[in-house]
Order: sequence, then structure tokens, then C-alpha cells
Amino acid sequence: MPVEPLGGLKTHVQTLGHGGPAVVMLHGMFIGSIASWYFSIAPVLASGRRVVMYDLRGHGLTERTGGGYGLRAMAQHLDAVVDRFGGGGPVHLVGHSYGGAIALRYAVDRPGKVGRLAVVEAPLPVLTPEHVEAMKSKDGRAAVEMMPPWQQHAFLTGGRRARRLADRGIALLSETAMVEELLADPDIPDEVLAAYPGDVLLCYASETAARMTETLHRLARVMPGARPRVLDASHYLHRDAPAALAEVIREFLDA
Amino acid sequence: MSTLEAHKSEALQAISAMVQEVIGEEWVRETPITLETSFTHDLELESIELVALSEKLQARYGATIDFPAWLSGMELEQIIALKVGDLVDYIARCQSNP
Repeated sequence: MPVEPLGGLKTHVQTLGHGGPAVVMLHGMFIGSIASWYFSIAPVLASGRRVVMYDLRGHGLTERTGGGYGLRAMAQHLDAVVDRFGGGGPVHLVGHSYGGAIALRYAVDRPGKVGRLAVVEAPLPVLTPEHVEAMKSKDGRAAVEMMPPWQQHAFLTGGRRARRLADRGIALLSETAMVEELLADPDIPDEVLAAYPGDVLLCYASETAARMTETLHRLARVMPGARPRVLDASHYLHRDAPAALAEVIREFLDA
Repeated sequence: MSTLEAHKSEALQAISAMVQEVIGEEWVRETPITLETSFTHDLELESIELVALSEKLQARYGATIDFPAWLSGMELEQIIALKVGDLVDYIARCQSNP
């Protein structure tokens, strides 16, 4: 198992393919892991490129710590991954949801280390009090409904996978400061976003929550290099429309 | 036994051992793994465990097979319905037509 200490955190990393600048891919919160990309669009992007995927702090097989879930701390962890696997030059970044927000934070803070930046369905801010309320709602139904259909299936059939999925989600909610840290996380100001010199692919979904769409509109308005694209899919684009998503990202990386 | 059949029998044994290692829980050592065993319904393998299985497959078969590309070409329903026998067939096919 390729788990090694990176930025002080035991980190699970997987790579696919060879050639060109590395493409580092970041998954989303709770149910996300390396697997989100590994079995969807990473094999397509890995044709002619080196794709680097890692499990975010507290997710998949990467260590869970009590804190360090704010965007700056998560970007610090990403920096350790980039330094170890980036091959020395700037890397391309592809991030979904929470992972997209981390990639964006990283890029505006360290523009020299980033080649192409692809933000997929990222919300800013990452969490809102209403969203957290839904996750913590007593009967849990709202939380289950927020999962994509295939995870609902695993969850509701009540077997081993459901137990493990629930255990990890509960651990992140109850044993870490993730929610509190993200609720208190400073916004990325418009002027900082506006100063980002590179191109940014903003790949969003047609059937998604209002806060994603609002983020798309804001980023498209303030970032000079913004390239907005809306695909016919839910928040989980990599599952709903993998071929279309892979094509849009590949075009953007090669442009 | 034909070459294809030999590849299949070898692949089934190898996959069984890999699955037991990946899951690493007591019950799986007592669960007979056959061509009909479903990764999702019978083994309840998580997606992150499929990544670990993929790593083991790559260590054993190298570039002969491309498990992530094979899975990423499937619809979600196909992945949920995936049986050990499907993977055995895929590996044997790759070995017979390199």
C-alpha cells in the first residue's frame, strides 16, 4: 500500500500513466477518496500523462487528525504531495467539490507552482450552517439524501460497506474539528481571485445545489482566466458524465 | 486443459488470495470465493478496497492488464453487478491476446 508521510501526515497516494507535467487530482468530502477518480476519469487522463491521486486528510486511507481541515491547512498538505510527486515543475490541478476549493486556495496562494487549474463543482464557502444542519439532522434522512445514488444503495442495504461508510463519516463529524474549521474558514476575497494569472476551468453541473451555481457565477465574474463549462449532470459529474468531463478536462489541459 | 482454462484457474486462485488480503477480516477466509461471487453483494468490497485490489493486480500482471481502464469503461450498474468470474475472464483474455 503506497502510504507515506507527507507534510506530517500518513498519506495514501496512487499514480497512473506516464509523461508530461503531473496532473494532481483531489476528491470531495466524506464519501470521496482516490477511488472517485481512479475508476472514473483518471484512466482516460492518464493516457500520455502522469496522474497523481491522493486521499485527503481523514479520507480513504490517509490519516485522520483532530484538526487541519481548513483550506490553507489542506493546501499545505497538497504542497507536500506536489513537492514529492510533482516532478519538479508546475503541476496541473483537478479538484472536485471540497478538493476543488483546496486546489483553488493552493493556486491563488502559490500561482508559480500551478500549470492548469480545473475546478469541478467546488462551493465557496465549502460549508454553510444550513448544509451542516442537514448533515447532522436527527433522522439522518437528509444526510442520506445528499449522497449520490450508488452510495445511498450501499448505505441503505445495511451491510459491511454501509457500516464502514457511516463509521468514517461519523468519525469526521464527531472526532475532528472539520466542520467547525470549515465554517470559520476565511473566504478567498474577490481581489485575490482576480489577481490569479492563469486560466481556470470551471466545470459545473446543471443539476446541482444553488451554492455551487452561485460559486460558478462569482468565480466566472471575478477571475480573468475563467473558462466556465456546465455539463448535464448532478454534483457527482465524474459518475454521471465521465466521458464528457474527461473530454472537457483533457481539452483544457492540452490547450 | 487449454491455455485459456489454465489462465482462468490461475487467475481465480490469485484473485481469491488478493481479495482475502485486501479485506483482511476473519469471515472472508471462511467464505469460498467462486466465479459467481459478487464483489459488491457478496464481498461488500468498498471502492477504496477496489483500488487496493487494483494495485495487487498490477503488481502481479503488470501491463498485461489495465484494471482501472477496464472498470472505468463500465456503467455503474455493471460495476455493482461485477462478479469474480468477470475479472477472471478479463485477465485470461488479456493473457491469451497480449
